[in-house]
Amino acid sequence: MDAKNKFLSGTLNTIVLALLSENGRMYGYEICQKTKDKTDAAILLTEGAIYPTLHRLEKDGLINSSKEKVNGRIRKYYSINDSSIVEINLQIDLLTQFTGHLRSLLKPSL
Amino acid sequence: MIHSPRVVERIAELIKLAGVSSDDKIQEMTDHYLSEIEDTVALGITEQKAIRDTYQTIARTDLKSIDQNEKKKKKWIIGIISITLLCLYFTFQCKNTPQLIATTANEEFVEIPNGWPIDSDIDQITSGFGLRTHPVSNTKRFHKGIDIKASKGTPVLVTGDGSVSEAGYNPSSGHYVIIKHNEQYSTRYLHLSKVEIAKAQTVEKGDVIGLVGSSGISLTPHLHYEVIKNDFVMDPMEVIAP
Repeated sequence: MDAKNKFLSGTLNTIVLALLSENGRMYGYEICQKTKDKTDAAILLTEGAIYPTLHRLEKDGLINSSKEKVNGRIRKYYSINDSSIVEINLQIDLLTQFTGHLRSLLKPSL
Repeated sequence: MIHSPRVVERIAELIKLAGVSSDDKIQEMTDHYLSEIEDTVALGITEQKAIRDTYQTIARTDLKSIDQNEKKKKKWIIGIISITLLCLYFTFQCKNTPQLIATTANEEFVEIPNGWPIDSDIDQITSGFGLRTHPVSNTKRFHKGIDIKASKGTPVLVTGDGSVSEAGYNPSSGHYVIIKHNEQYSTRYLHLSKVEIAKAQTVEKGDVIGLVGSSGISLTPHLHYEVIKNDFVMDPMEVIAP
């Protein structure tokens, strides 16, 4: 596991929840592409990472899924579970604060 | 071409080979890779090359992690089944817990004589089951039952339903009674001062069958009580209900 993946492993849940909060409903491939675009390809989510995360979040009740027919095939869309919105916002806030603290520790001059 | 059944089938097949087994997840991954091909084609790359590249990507990728949740669930189920079987095994192995046991031959339930054989508050066991030094002969002997100290004349109670198979006297046991409860269990009551039932009489648990005494080879009034299961003596304390 390279350094970038190590950082990701603890934050992937929150990243996915933040993307879904911002964009409404998304499908797995879309989340990968969005992450790639937003980070100038610095963060690439692999299939082996994103789908288990989505399935776990769904099982935990934080997100919902629905299926739709697109281009002749079935697509699975994910969206935030409204009843978990408080918990999700809390998770996002905590990670945002945490990255702020990290920055002040790593680059105190900034 | 992207949406030809042949391409879709090939992608699903490769996903399966990469380690995904659930149909639902194969469907989701198929959509993922078809989306990728569509994106690549939109960038100006030929369909043929885009499809070939994606085939290679899937073949190189390990997708086992996508199926992991399901495998964990299966392991849990196997674990729970094993523990249940172990518990059942030990329940049937353990002699003193069940009040009823199943006989292997006909699956019928056999009642165990589990009562306390004396009607007295001072239930005092002066000699337990097993090897001991005999109080009269002063030699090491196997004690086939338990001795309960009680005053002469204390009522002796039958410990389970059954019928009297023997009621009599001999020089070592003194006045004694043997009750046959069922095909498996019998109980013996020795050193009585008086026998109050007769051979072949049926008895119910708690009936008085005689009185405590010190007849036969005995120093003080007490009841010697034995439980016999399948022709072998066993420790009565294992079956007496608490």
